[in-house]
Amino acid sequence: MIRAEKLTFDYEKLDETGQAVSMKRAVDGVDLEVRSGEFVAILGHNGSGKSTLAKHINAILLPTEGTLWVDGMDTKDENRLWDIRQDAGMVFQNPDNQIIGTVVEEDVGFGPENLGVPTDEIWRRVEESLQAVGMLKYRKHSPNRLSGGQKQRVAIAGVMAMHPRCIVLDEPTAMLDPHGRRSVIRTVQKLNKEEQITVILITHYMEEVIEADRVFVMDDGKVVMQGTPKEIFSQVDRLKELRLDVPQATLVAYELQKRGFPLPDGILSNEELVEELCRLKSKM
Amino acid sequence: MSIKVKNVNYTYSEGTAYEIHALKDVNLEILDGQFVGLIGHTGSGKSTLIQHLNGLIRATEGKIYFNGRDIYGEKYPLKELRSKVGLVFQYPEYQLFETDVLKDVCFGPKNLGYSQEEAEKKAKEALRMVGMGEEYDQSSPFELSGGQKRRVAIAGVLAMEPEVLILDEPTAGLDPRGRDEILDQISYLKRERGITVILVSHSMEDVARYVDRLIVMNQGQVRFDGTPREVFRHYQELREIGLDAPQVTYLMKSLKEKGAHVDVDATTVEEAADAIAAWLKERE
Repeated sequence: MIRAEKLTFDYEKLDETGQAVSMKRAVDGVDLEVRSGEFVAILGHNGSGKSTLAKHINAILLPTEGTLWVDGMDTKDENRLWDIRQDAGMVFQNPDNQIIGTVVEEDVGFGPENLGVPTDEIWRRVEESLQAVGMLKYRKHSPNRLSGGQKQRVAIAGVMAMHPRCIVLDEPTAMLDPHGRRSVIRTVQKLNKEEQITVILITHYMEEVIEADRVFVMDDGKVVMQGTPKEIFSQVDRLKELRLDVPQATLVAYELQKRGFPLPDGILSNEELVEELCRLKSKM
Repeated sequence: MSIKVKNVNYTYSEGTAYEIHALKDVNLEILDGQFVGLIGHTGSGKSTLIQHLNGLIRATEGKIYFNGRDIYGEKYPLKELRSKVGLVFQYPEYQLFETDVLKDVCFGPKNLGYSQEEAEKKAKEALRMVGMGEEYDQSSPFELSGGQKRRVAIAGVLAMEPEVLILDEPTAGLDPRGRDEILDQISYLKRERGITVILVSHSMEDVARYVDRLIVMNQGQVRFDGTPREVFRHYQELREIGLDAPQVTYLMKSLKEKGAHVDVDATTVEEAADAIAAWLKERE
């Protein structure tokens, strides 16, 4: 679905006259493959290059060197630009910056309308997308009056209405309260499972990553770790070095290991930890 | 010395179709040197409340006393109040505007009437307080990382030497290490300088770790007010109002349900590990 080969991107810093004065390599030779239907999470500290990488997936940025393919289409191929953007939708951090309509259903219909989809078909897609994110009953509402989590779900519906095969979400929950965060993550998981949408989720909340199929960790523009959530979160010290964290259940297990209790590595959820603790207690 | 909120009501767009009763009969007293967490879902009234505390919004009804004086009283120096009760908005780095870091932080004290020399002295002090070394004084704010920018913005408020520092989600969008650094710094300021801190947050884990007192807002009213341990005992009600408890709170509940003899009030990873270790070592 998504394939990057030696993907490199330099930001140029320009002076007043437009001359390049310095360069910063934000993405540095990334090789990566995301299969169709996968749920992939990307972690990394601020400035590690993850958002820059994400912006390549729907051709907002084009590689300085290397290549990125979406569904076999090279993002440098200008003729395929709109196919790529229709195929790989993007959702950003701030819901207020990505909603433009004055009524929820108009906002969701904006994408397909731009693609030249016939009117009847637009309304069908609006309805099915709002249904998929659980916002159908708000179709006639003004987006201004929605909560942050609801706005983000409308933004996701807007992307879904374009019938993409892949959604890239760049910290979609950073500005939300706990309920909003849960509702957005559940929506994304549901789209992945039920509609087989490929998901690429960038986040700073480790709890949101537990159910991903694979995790990529970025540092200094490179992919420095990859594996299942279990494999990644087993490396508590390494993640802390990379300015990251692990889920609380993992951290509690880690603290107990340090105190000499023999718990296995890679415990991710409260359920697993409870089970392991009960087993341990019965042997003591 | 304290902030006292007495029977405060606030209605947005009073008398129009968009009327919203954002605060309903709020009563609170915040004492000197407290570290207070303020939580509530989007739209619960917490932002409206904090803007009352430094006089940016005037209550529709009710009174606010700062250090015993009625801030709505005739000739009350509101400008002085705004320097004594410093408010750091969400994403404060968007408000950086000067050509270098030092100039930006000087803006507040200069506005308060301090000379260039005095303003620079206060600015430098504030920058060191947030952990920004001299080497950054002449940097453009736009060359800094997300976490650094945010610290500079906080220094801009600290340079006015506030007695109370209110921060609206100071860690939104920061990576886990950046989040810990900012919160550790704020905690240090509170200890070393005796500044009263009010922290608005969507992270239950963060407030559990740092604050001594937790105030929960719901539909414009104070729903709970107590230590984090006391408040998180109401984890079910918190869920109903769009919030949550820290992950470890749920961990302790599940262990208890399995018959484990553990302290269910643990709200931080350390407390949970201590409680579990004590239980594991216990002889039947």
